[in-house]
Amino acid sequence: MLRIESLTRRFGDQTILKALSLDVPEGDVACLVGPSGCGKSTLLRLVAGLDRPDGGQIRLGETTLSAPGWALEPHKRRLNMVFQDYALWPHMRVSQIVGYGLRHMTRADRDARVAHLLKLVQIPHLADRLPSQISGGQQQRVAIARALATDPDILLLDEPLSNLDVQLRLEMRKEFSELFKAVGKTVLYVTHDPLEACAFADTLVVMREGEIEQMGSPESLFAEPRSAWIATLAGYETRMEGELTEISGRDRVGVRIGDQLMELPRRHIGLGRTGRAVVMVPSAAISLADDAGRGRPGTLKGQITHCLFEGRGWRVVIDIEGQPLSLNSTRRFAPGGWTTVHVDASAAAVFPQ
Amino acid sequence: MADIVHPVSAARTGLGQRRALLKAEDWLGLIVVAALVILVLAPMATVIVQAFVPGLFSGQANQIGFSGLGEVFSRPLWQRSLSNSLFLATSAAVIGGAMGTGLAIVRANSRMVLGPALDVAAWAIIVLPSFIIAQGWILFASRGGIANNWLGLSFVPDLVFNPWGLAVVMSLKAFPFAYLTVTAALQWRMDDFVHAARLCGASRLRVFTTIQVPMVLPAVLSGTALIFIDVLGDFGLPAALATTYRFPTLTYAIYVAINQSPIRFDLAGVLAFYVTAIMLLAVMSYFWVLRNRRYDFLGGKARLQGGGGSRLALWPNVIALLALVITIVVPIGSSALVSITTRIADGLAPANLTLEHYAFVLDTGGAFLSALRTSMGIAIMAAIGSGIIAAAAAYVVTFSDFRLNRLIDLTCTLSLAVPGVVLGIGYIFVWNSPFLDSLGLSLYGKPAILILAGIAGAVPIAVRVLLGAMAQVPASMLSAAALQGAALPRRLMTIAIPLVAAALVSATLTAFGSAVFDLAINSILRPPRLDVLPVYVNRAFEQGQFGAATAATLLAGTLTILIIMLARLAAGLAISRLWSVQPRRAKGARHAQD
Repeated sequence: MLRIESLTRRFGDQTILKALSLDVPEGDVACLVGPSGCGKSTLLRLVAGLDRPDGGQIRLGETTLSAPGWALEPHKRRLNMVFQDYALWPHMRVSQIVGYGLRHMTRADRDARVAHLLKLVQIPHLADRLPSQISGGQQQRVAIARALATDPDILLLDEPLSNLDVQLRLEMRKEFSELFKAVGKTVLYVTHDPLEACAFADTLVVMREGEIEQMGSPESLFAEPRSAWIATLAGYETRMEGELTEISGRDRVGVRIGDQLMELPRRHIGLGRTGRAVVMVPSAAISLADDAGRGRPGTLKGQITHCLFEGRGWRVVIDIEGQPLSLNSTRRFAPGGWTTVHVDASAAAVFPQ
Repeated sequence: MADIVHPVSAARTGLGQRRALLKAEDWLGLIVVAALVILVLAPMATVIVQAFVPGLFSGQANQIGFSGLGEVFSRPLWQRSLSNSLFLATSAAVIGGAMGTGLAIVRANSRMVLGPALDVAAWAIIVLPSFIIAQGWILFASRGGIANNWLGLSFVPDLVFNPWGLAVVMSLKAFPFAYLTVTAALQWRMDDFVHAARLCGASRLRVFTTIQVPMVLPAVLSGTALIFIDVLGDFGLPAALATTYRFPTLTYAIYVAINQSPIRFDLAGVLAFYVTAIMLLAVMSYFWVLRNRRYDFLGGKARLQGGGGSRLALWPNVIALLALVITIVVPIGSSALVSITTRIADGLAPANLTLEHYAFVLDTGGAFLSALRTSMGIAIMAAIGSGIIAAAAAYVVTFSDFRLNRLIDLTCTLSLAVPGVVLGIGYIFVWNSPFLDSLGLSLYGKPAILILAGIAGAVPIAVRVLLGAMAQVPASMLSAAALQGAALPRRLMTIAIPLVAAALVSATLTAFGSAVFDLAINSILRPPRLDVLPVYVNRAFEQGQFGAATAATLLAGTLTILIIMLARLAAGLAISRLWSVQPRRAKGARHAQD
């Protein structure tokens, strides 16, 4: 079990991590998700021992890895890391890079382990190459093989896919999922893309401004985001603001947007009976209402302001009481016209503003 | 709850706790700081303290006060030395700054064929010891010199041997500082800025004065400040001039104070304080002038300045040729000619050509060979020492959060401005102090002090070179090695050093080259009866043995260049082998393919 207790890290006046606590059970894949500057990479560096905390501690099983002002040096920790830039030593060959941490082994054992790992990451033919002679995707595989070589208790990955093109990134998600299952290690994975994390995470840890905003399985996080900010991160692209209105039914809530009323499920615990509220909706849950649907609950009327071609279809932007709402359509619409949209209330979320 | 097993849990008090807080990099940092204290900070501190307590470190102690500092106003020689030094440094900064800037502008705006030669010459002049260039000028311009005797240019002696003439000679030695800084600033084209100004209606002249000049002003000021510092601390020119033209400077007055009876270390210390204070004042003024003058004008659209016109364009090539002749050909050529001439007065005739000076220095009593051997040995050790310390310092500053990093950086930067003479005086105060003497650690009068001073002189430049190289190595490469289980020594030897090997070789060889010919350090700290090369050459020159002095200079210079070239070649081969791009079969690959 990796246990992080009240971890604090400051740089000058700025507090990057604010007494953050987190437990990662052995064998779990935990993904730290959040925007740039939220402290996720700092947390990873502290776990790796590349930085010292100002407060709190990090423990791995029964061993304390870091305490305030003190850190067990990285080379004495039983963990390894895949760096964002891969950090492959340019003067060494792939086999030397992967075998670098295996100095304690006999030559034969080391060679065998290197060969096994290169086979595991599907690049046995590149053993003799220098980093400059292989592609970005291959470099990443070398970095993974090197990190696995020392048989670490924890594998740390710092945005390892960020330097790859979109196609390769999608392929690597699948491979990571298989790899993590195969090696069975505790994994701490940093990314700013929640969709990437969903492919293999047991736990998603959403971080914001040095604190954990929400933590749980990917399914729970996507289904029930705890704040409008997390909803944005989870793909709830449309945001509308309105006034809470009393309606019948304890598990439902009414939100008045201008003159129009939306009825939505009451999910947020802190949501009151009145006051300002934010409605978050994924684009996929918004559709153009047919004639029969107009005027029914869950429909909103608005004026088309933009119609943008996006390759496979059109993105239609509709002004609803002064607030933009967008949906995907296979048809083109002329800006200026009025239309009615249907919002799937079960997919929407309401938060206090 | 299970027991905590980290190594410090049991010893969280007192010294144990403080030690536990130190990482391996911190220990390395402490070693670097200790080395800098011994090599630079302690000697410089003694110079400053000694100015207020004259004789404190030399057993000639007086009362605490400003009496020593006030003496500069009561001693005519000191007054003249101070005013001469300030005049020489200021005028050379202005003349050399203008010359360097002008040549850099010509270089940047032309594709002239002599451009690369100008670049090489600028570096060569910086590396060449000033006393050798000054000796060359004396051989050319003195009454009995080449200009008067061979070329019939009788006006040259009067033209050169006056304060302004000497200022020009110093400018010719120091102008490369301005040339190189301004050339670097002009390396990238600023077309967009110029075009924007032109589209606002500015004339070419207004664009030049309001856009182009202000944008390179920081570089010009940098170059000018470096010239001022270099000339103020220079010892070579006054040493070479000693027998020809009386023009005392502060550095030479320091040398005189400790080489004339009665030996007055305390007075030398006061003068050294003045030099240090002026240096610091110059550096601080420079930083003050440059405050808020950081121009980040390099953008994604920046292009390398290519220059224009034909490679054989007349004026740029004529200007470059003139600069090369005056700055390199005249002084070095004069020395070379004198080394193969029986008597200068007999003119350039076949009968007057000889190799007897070379035979003389190689034969007579072995003094030259002994001096050469000693200086080479000292320079090799100083180069290795400075390479190790500079590599450690640059590593700590670049890759660690050691608390004294700023002190290391500041010490290395400021000590760039410390002249050899001042450092030498500081070394006398430290290594000749009664305290160290009582501990049996008095190194004054022993060859080891020359090695220490050589290291101290070379470390600042070596650190600058290595900081640049290490800045290009991502920290993640060292972190990755640490996570593979590599402790600091292995990280250094297998990752950091191989990645900056070329820069380390350059830094070490530069240190070697400058230590061989360091006249100031050798003149002040040389143990009695120890033959060292710069002193051998300077003494021969003082005694009027110009042929022997120049022959010794050229022999030693050629040997030094050969050693540097061979070492660079060998290192280059080793590095290229390390970085070989040809795939080779490795055991791991065979296993992988099994």
